[in-house]
Amino acid sequence: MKATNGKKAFFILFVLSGLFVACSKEEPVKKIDMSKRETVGIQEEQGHFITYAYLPQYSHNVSYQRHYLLIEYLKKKTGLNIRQIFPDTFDEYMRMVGEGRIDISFSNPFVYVKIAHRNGATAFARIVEIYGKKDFRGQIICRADNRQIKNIEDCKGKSWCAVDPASAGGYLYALGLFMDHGIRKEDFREITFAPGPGGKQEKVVLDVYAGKCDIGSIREGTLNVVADKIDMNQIRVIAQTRWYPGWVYAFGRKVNPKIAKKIKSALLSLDYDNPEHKQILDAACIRGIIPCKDSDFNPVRNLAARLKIDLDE
Amino acid sequence: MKLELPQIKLGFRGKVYLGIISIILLSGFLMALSVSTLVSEALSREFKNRGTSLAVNLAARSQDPILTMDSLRMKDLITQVVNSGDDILYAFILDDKGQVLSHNFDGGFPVELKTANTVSENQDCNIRRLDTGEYLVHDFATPIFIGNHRLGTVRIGLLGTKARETIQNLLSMILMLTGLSILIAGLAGAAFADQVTKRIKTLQQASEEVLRGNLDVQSAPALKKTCSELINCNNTACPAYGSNRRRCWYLVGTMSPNYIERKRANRVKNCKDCAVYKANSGDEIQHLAESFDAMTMALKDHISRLAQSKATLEKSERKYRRIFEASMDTIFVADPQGNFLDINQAGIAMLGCESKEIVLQSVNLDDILLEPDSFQALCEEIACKSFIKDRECTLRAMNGHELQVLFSCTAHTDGKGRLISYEGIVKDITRRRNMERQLLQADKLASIGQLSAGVAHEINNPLGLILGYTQLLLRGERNGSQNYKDLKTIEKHARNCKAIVEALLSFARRTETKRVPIDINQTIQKVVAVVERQFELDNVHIDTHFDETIPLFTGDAEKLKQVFMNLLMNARQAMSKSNAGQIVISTAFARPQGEIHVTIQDTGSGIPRKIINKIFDPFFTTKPTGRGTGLGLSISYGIIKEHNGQISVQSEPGKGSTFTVTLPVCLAEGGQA
Repeated sequence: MKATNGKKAFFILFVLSGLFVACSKEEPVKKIDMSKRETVGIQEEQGHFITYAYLPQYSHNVSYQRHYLLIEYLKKKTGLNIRQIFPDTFDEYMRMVGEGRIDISFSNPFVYVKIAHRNGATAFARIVEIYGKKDFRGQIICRADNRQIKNIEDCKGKSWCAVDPASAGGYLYALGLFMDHGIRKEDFREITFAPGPGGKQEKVVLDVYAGKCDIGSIREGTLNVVADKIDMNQIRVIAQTRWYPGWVYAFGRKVNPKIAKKIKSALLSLDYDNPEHKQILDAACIRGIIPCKDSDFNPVRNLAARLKIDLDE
Repeated sequence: MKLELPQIKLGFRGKVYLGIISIILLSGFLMALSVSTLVSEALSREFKNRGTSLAVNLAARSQDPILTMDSLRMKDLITQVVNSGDDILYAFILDDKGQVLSHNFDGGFPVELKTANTVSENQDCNIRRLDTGEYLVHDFATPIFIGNHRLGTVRIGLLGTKARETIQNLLSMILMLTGLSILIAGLAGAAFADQVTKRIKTLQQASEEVLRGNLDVQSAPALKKTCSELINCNNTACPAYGSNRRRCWYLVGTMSPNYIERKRANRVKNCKDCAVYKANSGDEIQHLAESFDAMTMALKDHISRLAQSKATLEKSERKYRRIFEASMDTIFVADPQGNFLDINQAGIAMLGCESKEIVLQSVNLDDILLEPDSFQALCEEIACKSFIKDRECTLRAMNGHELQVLFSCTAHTDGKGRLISYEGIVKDITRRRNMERQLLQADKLASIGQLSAGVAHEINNPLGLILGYTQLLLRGERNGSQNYKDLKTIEKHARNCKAIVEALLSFARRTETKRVPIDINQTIQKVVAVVERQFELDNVHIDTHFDETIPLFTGDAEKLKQVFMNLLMNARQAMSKSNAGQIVISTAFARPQGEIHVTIQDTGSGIPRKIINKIFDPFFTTKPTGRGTGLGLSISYGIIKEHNGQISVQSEPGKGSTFTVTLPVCLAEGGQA
């Protein structure tokens, strides 16, 4: 009888052990030989290709997501080897245009005015904003719970966070609006610009949201970009600037006219009513692309003059 | 060959140790097993989460460098990741075509590693274990996505050494804790076992004392306060009063106010709320000791009462055994088949056996019953009435004597009505029946005597006249003439009649018996002398065996001679004339009874059973008409009775008869009558 009990106990122990062992599953192991080595490095794409750059007002990630399908469309439509490149800052962008490293420029009108003035870039198309406007404007924002700022005049003496000195919607348009209300750059306690590279529009919204500055200036539409990152009820729009011409496509100075024609034709043929094109345009946050000429951007040039901005700087 | 392990008998202490150590070892083993498994799983999960997190994070951070093809930033990112932990063996980035963009290996990238782990687009991370020969590596592969477009893949290799080290440390800790637990439990178990074994040993010693017959033991501790002190009880009649040893909840007949007689079966349960029980009851071992003490006390009491009962029973047994054995009547117990199971001394004597064993082993009622002729007949009667009372039966004892008995018997059955035995009493009435028969015979003879005397007296005178006139007429007749012959015939028969009448008168006449001291041996010798010569001529020999020690008998010598003459003549006549015979005459003196026994034994034809009771009747004779009067034995019987003696006969047809005359002797001082 004792022996039987002992056997039972041992059996139970064995089963329990088995259960525990059975619970621990291990993936199969693959043997590899680490001794076989090869030299690797970034293989630059061989051959001539057309470079496409998007002024880094957003992060490279957003820039890539917005324009990846558009570039794929252009490559397919024109048969050209087109590649998107990602300058880190506005200055680098303009410098690369000047160096001829950017063939197709998609920039704000102020940067266009500058590269047109400095580097001979030529506008050939402009966009229709996603909400259907051909023009766009800037917005001045603050925290919703900021009781000291109720209108644009209250911004005097406050700290201002802007996108970039070369940003149209994110700085210059707002600066023009402040000047219209008699507020000069010196009247602000501090003017800071969002650090690069990329994502500068979003950084302004985030800085205001975080309370690092009292007010911020952004182009219209940016709030939608960061709507999934912050509580939008905490942001209040104090004022909006007048409408200015929207973002512009321009060719670099060295672009072959035939190629330019192909590209222009392809871009202008994008139709929002075409489901395939709609997917491309929606990804790029564009309603459509329409032809333009350089004179369409004279209001911007006038603003620069009014703000005493030297286009050569 | 089977290995026989030595048998080790563990004591209670050893079992406690073994139990405690087994439980702790088992729990330690299970704990180590379960904890190591759980921790291993948790660490593995955490390890995988960490690897996945590192890979996903690197994938997120490498988007921009990939877009800008910034190899320096990619290298920085990889270096940061590899330096963030000792267990990160490698990290590298592949583009969407599977080409390595950046890695941390020195001396070139391992070719096989590139394709060792892949991750599909719908997976966040794929983990694969790789064996490099030197390390076991968990390889984490995470895709790099921007929107829906896959830019490439991030791969990170983590060593599982840290997780193993943590588990080993944990197991060491559990082992140490288990050892510590065994030590503590051993000390605690020793204290516990000491206390328990001490009490069990006390109980064991008490048990051994009981086995040795000493019931005056106490294994439970004495009460500090008795029940009477606890509840201020003054009932001195209560068996528990003032006792520091008795537990009232085990006592029958306690007079505690909390005790309810009807609920005696649940007494301990009923006592749960009693202050005495609460104060004096202990744990299970104390309960055991208390119940053991109560049991020994009850046992002692029971044994005492049992001894008393046994003494009473033995006394009763002796009394009834004495009655049984001393009874003058036979008392017996027999089984349903008639075999004796027990019988008293009177029964043994009646059956003519030497010992009870012989009766029990060899005698069956069925064998000894003559009337009725089977025991079954008696059983049927008993079955009808459950008993029989004073049923007159005839038995044949083992010595051949037939006995007249009164048989009373009852059947003994068990609870289910099955017959177990017969119990009965047998009263021997043989002597009484003989006496009754003799009395009857005497009465009969007296009546016949009176009648005969009257008839003889009336006939005697006419017979005298007939004989006188016949003799007178004979004188006038010529000798030889017809008348003479006829008168002679008349005279002959008249003389016969006269002889009969005289015998009758002699039988009936109460002649005075002249009692004088006589020597029976001489008296018999005188008779033998008369007939011996004649008998010798008939080839019949007479042997005498006289007991010379017999005393003188006071009686009528002539009458006794007549008796012996009659008996000798009868014996002679029982033998056929052609065959030789022998008559043996013996005398003996039975001093205890004070009787002279005279036996006359012949080798004649014997007496048939059907007439043996009639031979003493007057006029009963087996002789042809005119040859005997049938009064000889009747007269002899009468003479012996006059001497207060007895005459009896035993006969076996074809072998002979034995007549026994018993004469009582009144012994004077000096042994003479």
